[in-house]
Amino acid sequence: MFGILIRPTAMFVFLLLTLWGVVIPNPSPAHEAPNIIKFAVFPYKSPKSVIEVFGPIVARLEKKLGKKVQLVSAPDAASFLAKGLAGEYDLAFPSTTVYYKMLPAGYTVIAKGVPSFWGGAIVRKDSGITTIEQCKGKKIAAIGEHSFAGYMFFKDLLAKKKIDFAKDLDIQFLGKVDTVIYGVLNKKYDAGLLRLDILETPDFVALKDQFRVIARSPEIPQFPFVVKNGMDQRTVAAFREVLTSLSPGKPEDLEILKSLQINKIVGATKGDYDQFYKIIKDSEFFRQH
Amino acid sequence: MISFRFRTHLIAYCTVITLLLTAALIALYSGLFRDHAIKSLTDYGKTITLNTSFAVADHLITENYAPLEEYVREFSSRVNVNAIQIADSQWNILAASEVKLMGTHMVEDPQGSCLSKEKEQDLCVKIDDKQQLIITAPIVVGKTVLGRTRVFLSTKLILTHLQRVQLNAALIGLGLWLLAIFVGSLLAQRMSEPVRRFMQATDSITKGNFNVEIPRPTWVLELEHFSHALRVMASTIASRELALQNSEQKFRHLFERAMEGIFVANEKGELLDVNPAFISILGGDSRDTMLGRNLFASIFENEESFSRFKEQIDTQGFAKDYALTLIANNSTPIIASLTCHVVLELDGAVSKYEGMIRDITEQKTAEREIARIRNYLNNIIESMPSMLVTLDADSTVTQWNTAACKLTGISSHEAIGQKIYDIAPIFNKYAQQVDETNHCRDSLTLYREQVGQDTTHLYNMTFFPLVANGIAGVAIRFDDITELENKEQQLRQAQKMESIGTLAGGLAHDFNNVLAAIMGNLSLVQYKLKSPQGLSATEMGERLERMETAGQRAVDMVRQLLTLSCRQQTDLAPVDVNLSLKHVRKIGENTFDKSVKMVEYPASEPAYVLADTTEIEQVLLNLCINAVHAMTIMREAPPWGGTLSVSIDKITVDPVFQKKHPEATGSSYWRISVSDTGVGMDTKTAAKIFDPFFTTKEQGKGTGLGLAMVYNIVRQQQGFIDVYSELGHGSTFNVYLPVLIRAGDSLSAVPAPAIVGGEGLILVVDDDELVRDMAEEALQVVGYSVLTAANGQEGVDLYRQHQDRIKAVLLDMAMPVMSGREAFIEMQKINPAVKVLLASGFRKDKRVEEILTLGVKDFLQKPYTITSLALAIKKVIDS
Repeated sequence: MFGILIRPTAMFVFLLLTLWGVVIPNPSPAHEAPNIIKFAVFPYKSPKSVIEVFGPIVARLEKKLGKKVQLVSAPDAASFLAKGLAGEYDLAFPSTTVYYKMLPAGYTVIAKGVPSFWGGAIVRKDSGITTIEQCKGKKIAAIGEHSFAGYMFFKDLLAKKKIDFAKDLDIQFLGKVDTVIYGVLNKKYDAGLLRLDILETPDFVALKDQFRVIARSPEIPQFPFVVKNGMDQRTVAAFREVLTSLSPGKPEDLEILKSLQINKIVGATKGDYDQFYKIIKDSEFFRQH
Repeated sequence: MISFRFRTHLIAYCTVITLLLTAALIALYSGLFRDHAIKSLTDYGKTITLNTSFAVADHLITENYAPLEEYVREFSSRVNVNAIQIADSQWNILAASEVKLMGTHMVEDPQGSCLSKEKEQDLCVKIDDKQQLIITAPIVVGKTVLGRTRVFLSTKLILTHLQRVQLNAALIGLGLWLLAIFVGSLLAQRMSEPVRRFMQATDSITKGNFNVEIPRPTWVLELEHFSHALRVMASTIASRELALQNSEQKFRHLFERAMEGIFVANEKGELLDVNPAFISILGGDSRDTMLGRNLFASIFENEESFSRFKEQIDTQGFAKDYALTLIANNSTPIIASLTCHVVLELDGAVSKYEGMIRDITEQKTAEREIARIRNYLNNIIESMPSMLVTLDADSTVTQWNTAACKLTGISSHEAIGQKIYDIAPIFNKYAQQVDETNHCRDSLTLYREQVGQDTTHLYNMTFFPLVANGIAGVAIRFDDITELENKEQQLRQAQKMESIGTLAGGLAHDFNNVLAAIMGNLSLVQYKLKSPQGLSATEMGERLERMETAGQRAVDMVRQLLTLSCRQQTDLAPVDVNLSLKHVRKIGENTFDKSVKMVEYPASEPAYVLADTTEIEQVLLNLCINAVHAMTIMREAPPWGGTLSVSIDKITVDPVFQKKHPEATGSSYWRISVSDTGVGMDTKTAAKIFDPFFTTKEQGKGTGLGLAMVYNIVRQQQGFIDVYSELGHGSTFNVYLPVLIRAGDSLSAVPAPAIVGGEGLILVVDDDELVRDMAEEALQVVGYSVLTAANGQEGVDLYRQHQDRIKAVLLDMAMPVMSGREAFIEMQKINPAVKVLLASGFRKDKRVEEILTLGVKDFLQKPYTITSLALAIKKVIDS
């Protein structure tokens, strides 16, 4: 049944593509960038925060390219992924998982932030919880369903321990790391899931000793910077140069890097994300999302 | 006519002002209202655009345009909002009230089309042809422009309200205009009448009629106040006019009666007005003849003196007390003082001369006389041998004569005007006297003062209070009394000698009696010792006692003579006058004529005065000798004799006493009264008795110095004397001496000293064998060993031989071969620590003092007793 249906469709597409190739001159694979370059940032922050963080990078890109760069985000991860898949973005900064899902639309990794980070499950030191098994029946604060460090890795761990996430735990998605940290500290939650490098930041380093890490995720690479396939190399090189030129030695750059929770941006390729893909590709979350 | 014009103008002014005010108010209000309304509407629009921009920013970033329409619908429904448009950064309309506009391009604001543009927010405000207020605001996050919001606001309500206000204002203005015309007419009618009457009143006041009736309108407060003010003004002017007239009358009176000639002359010097004194001084006939005459030609004797005056008044603008000589009406020249001021015009030109002229001929004459007298007095003061210094109340020197210059070495030029204590330190010790004289206004005299380091001169210093022209001060006079003092001492000595001479006859007689008593008893003792009966120890004792008594009497007689004859320096010390009287009586017993009976009435208590013992006794003796003479040698015929009474009593000064004795400055005096029953004297003689060299005694019986000396001594002791005498009945001399108040006045009886014994070798050196033997015996009796020498040389030799053993030397002062002084010096060469007791029949005078200063330990007055000798020797050994 399906084969009958697929075949005419495939034929139609084939004809259409042939016609496209005959009638319309085939553009070179390395096509010129449009007059307005759309730079999409994964909605990991509020839209205004995205503008504030990436505005200076956009200004540098405009200066470098001599073109208008439109900075956009999306209301949520799904919308971002949808537009990414629709090929609307020339330059994008997706989350790692979204990147994997955007791959079919044709995006190439050009840079990434370093170092990588780890997700973890934290409890108060005086809570008596030392293993993830003890989390059974407890209230758990998580970042969100899309977050590997703030949710997914722990769910996978529990699944391996045969603990039913839905039945055995009371999971609350709080969205923000500070809400998770203070929720655990104030005993509203028994455990919290989050990026562990958050605890090293000036805001929370003083609280670090009050927590115990009972579970740790695999190493998670930072979000990648990707370009739409077919972007001309001059523009790609310009993107990469602007991104990798951010230096922690410059105060204005340091602000950008700190907001991204990275030390610097380095050139990267798809290969840098293959290892992590192997880890999560079989996870339930990845399957669901 | 005047009222009508005033009325017309008033109405016109009122209406025009009202119309202008109304129009201005309407225009002002309209403009303000419109501006305010547009501003309020603009603020309202800004709020909407900014709220819209803020709300849609996230959606623009996330490209989530669906909610934009919701916002457009919500804000479009608000009051005065006609439409809203939201566009992206490329001016593409993403949402709009008018759906047909979606997807179209938002019209950009051309450069300069905005009414106002706020740079911070990049807002553009403008009004379109439909009177819509259009506000366009960018949607910005950070520096990134995400898009634009445009709001269309309706101004219809504002314009409608404004038209209504303008219409109402115009109607009100018209009403006010009509009202103003009406009120203006009414006011003009009501005001013109009282104003006219006010003008009439002011005309009358101007003409000097202050009793004019001034209208009192009661219906306009200002006019009522004006009426009151006009009445007060009229009253004030009337009072002032009266005061002015009085003042004019007063000053005219002064002008007419002034002793100084007052004048006013024009710029040429021609007299415009003069007073009678001026006419009198210049010898004119009348005022009319003087007016028009040239002032300067009238008063200046020649051109040269006028030129000098003119130069002064031209340069200074005035001349004050300018002295000039003028010959008035060919009469005697008079000296005049001219004071003249120039009165200038505004442009500096001379307007007139005013001034006065005064006849100062008498004043000048008096000044010359004063100067002459002053010169005369100055010559006297300068020629005075006494130093005369005058000070003002601040002790500043005002007079310093030649004698002062000589004494201090400071010239009058250096001294006058300076503080006396600054220039002449010798006055510092008299500051108290200067102050006392200044304050008490009584003169004060200090006697026999030494000035500075000069010990060879003595001065009497007198401090006189000075009051002249209300300015107080002190005059200090230094009288050099050195020579006088020397003369006085010489006279005193001469007088003493006279007294001694007087006493000598009687003394010789008594001394013979004493010797007779001693010789008689001696011869009796010698006789009885040789006789077979011998002399019993009892009788021997009695004879010796009689001889001692006679000897003691002789000693007393000699001592009194020595006391009297001794020429000593005056030593002021407490003196009991009772005791002095006792001494004088002892002298008198032996010297006064036996026909005179002496009666004493000493005071019941010690009568202490501060004086010199010798001088007091001299006073008493002189008075007594005079009294005796008055009862003996001054009688023309026998029988001689009478009663000499001497009494001492205390007098407390009371007002009656003080009136009779103005010299009495103390509170109490000892009165020593010496009365006789002699020849007495008349008043004329009594007035001269204290004059030196005045005597009523026969040639060779009196020097005329006795009472003068008494007077002098008493005065020096701050005392005084009075005399009462009746010719043929006798005289009474009362001497008053100030009572000396002493702490613990009662004198306890001094017990007789015990004979002090001793041991050791004493060298007695005396040329008088009797004295030497007596001393030897006395010293041996009290325990000493004695070596004796008959003169100084012998004494020195003995001392050289026995110096180690000799404890002390009793050395007579007057000796042959070698005097006591020389002997002492030689002994000192042998042993500088030699202990010598000097003995002499002379009193302790300067010669004794000199030897004492050489190192002699003590002095013993001859004749001495065993008691006094033993005590003195013991003191010398122990010294």
